[in-house]
Amino acid sequence: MTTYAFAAALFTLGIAGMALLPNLLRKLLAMNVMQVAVIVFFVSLAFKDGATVPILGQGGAPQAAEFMNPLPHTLMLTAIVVSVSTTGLALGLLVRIRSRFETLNERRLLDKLR
Amino acid sequence: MGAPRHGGTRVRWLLGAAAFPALFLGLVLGMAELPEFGDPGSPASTHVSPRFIEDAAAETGAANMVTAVLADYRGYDTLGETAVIFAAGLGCLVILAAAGGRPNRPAAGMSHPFGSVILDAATRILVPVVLLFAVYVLIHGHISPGGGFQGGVLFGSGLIMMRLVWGPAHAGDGQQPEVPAFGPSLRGSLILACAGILGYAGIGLAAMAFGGEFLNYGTLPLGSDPAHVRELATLGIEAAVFLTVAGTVGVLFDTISIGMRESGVPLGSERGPRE
Amino acid sequence: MRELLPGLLVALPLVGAALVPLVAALFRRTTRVAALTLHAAIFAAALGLFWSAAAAGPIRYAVGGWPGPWGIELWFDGLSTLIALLVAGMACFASFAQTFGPDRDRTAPASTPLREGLLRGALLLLVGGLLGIVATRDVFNLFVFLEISSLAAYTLVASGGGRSTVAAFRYLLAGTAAGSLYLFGVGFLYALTGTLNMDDLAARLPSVEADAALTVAVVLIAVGLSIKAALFPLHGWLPDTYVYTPTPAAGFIAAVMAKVSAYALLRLLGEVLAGTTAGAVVLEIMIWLGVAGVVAGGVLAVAQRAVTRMLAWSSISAMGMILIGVGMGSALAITGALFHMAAHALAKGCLFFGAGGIRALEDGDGVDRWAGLGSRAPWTLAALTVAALSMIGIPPTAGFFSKYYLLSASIAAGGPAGIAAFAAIILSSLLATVYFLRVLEAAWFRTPGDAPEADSERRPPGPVLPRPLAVPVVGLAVLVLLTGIFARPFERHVLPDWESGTARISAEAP
Repeated sequence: MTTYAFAAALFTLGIAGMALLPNLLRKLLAMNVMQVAVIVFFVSLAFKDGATVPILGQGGAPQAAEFMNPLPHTLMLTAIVVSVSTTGLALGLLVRIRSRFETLNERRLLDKLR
Repeated sequence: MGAPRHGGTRVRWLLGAAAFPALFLGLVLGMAELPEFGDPGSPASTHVSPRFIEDAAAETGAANMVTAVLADYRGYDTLGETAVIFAAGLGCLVILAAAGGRPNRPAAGMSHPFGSVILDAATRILVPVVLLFAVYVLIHGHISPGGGFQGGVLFGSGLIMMRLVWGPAHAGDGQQPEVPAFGPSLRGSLILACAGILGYAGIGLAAMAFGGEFLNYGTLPLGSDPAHVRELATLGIEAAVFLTVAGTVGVLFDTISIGMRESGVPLGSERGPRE
Repeated sequence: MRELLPGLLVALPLVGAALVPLVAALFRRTTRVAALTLHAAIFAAALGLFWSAAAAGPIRYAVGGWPGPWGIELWFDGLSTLIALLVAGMACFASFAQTFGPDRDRTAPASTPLREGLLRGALLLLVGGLLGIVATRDVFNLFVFLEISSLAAYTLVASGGGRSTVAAFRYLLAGTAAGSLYLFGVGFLYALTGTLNMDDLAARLPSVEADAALTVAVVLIAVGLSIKAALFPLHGWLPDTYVYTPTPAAGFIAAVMAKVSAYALLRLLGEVLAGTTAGAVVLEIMIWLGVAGVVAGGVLAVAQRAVTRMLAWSSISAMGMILIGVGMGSALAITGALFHMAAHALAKGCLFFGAGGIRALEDGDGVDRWAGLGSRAPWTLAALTVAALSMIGIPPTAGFFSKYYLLSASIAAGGPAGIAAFAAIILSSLLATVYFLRVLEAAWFRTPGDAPEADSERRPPGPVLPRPLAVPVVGLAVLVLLTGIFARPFERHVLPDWESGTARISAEAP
């Protein structure tokens, strides 16, 4: 439960940052925090008491209780890649915005756009 | 229209003060009803995933169950994931493209490589090791943590290290770079990334040509043991992912670093007919 | 062939998205023909699936040969093949329009063959993402393809340079928040059921007893997808995005992007989560938000002076109408919602290609820039008029029938929500009459010199759309008319299928 609540807190922080921070780069960082929150949540779903990492060692037939659930790990590998890709694209956009409008402050940007 | 007005800042903070605690409380209330953390009897641990743990090695030949799920059971997801990272590379190329005919802006960071004897010597030793380790991580992904994504990122970071110390790559537009660069040009990185996607989808389509479903590697004529065939095909798609990730990491770094120095990334010469 | 088509439909766009930039990078030639051929092939695959699903029933396709819930399944019924057909068809027009390069659009950087190839690749990637969302039967796979389509869309939006980069960044923030909310909701569902397959979820959800957790899951998923579908209070990203996107991409994004998210809402809330208490409440709320969106979008569209911005607000009104249909959930309402997706996509695509072209040629977006179009290019303007009449809802255009179905569904639903929906749809037609007649009047009856502030020496006597835009405009207008005329067969094709789909779900549930 504590892990879940930690994910909820991170998620809330991230969304709040995206909504309230004035600088677009900070908004982007807050967005990353939000995405990490979801990853923490999923990975914590994979945990099983008394189980080990989902890689087969030597020995007999594997039992489900012996290994952590590999599915959320796989899904989050995908989610991490999505997060990295979105961040990369967003950084590209920010470089472009910065060179064109010479600010990343949302308010000043909107003033220039008016 | 639609843009927040200046006076709205305080309203936004007030709304936030009410809305975000409510969001947190709502999430926690829902989470209180989820199965306990670490419960081996939870639906997530008992419904679908046992097959991935108990049968993956026999069915797909991969000792690393994450690799088995990633590359085989849910290989379609991974194709999508490769497309996502490719999309980011494509996007940065489009966004940071040269605005055409405008004078270059003064540099905003990273205008010169950090050349120094120590850095130079360190990278000469480190980078080959990093690149070799990347290939090891790719090939060893079947039986240990690793795979195409991890290997590709490592390979890309090795290239980035060289770029940081020796200066950026040239854009591949036929003009000589000021500094001789290491690794593929921007255009070369793009070609690598495209080749990876084509390789991945190509393996999937080849499976269709041999009568299976899209990405059903079991039908490929690579041997008699289906698990072994799947293992080989998995290595193939991991290699394809490796190419796309390494290429895209290169594209992202080059476009963003060139984009920060100049008004835009020069995108090739104007040889074709202009539309 | 039936066995090959599903794989081809999802694989071709991704192959093309890599192939076209590769060809452009290697040979530095225009990739127009290659991209058009690929789009035509994708459309052919979608058409084949549409026919196949209509003739021989829905198709279940296990990608990789792994059946659900372990593998990822695709599902092609009347509903998904219809939307796939719409997406693939609009993409053909958009690819044709992409020849209207960004270098003619004065807001965009100059074009080279490589850049053209990259933009065409981005469009193919967007199509691949949208088709993936439409086809998939797996909730996580839906997220992956949602992100593919989103990243490709940000690219296309930002390709205009300048202001469009700011619009794209705000779209990116909204879209990523939407994706993360959705994924968080999927996490809750996974924790409660242990599965990601939609059929398996629908079968296992009734035995889940955690009401609060299920409510959180439903709300997260609904809010996430509603952001992407631009449901009224969550529509903030839409106007700037549509307005600043370069014309060829704007015609496509405005036509299908939000609608595919509305389709995902329909699939998840109307089918998979329909049995849950929270799902029913969320759908009820969605009707009311849809009503608010229909009214607000219409009123704000009247308030706009720039034509493309007016069209963007009118899209918010239309999305409200579609989500009213989704929220009501009766067979008639779903038919109306689907029909409105098709009718609005065709008409709005047509109008955006037209308005964007005129904006680029005339260097301005005011109503007065349309003056003189009637005498210079009567056929183009006639096509745009057909699209505008469809937006208003005049028979025999497609827009009349979608509104007719939705109004009938509102009456059948009854209650305060039904009455409010009925009134809102009628009001939206009146408002649409106001804002479209203003443009049409200027285009048909005024010449550039009539405009009060016009300096007729500077401007030639009215714009003429170049062929890459005129062909899609006329083609889409013809489709708007045909869809209206053949409304009945359409209804018969989609309706029984949807009902059997719902019946299948409830039959499988324990």
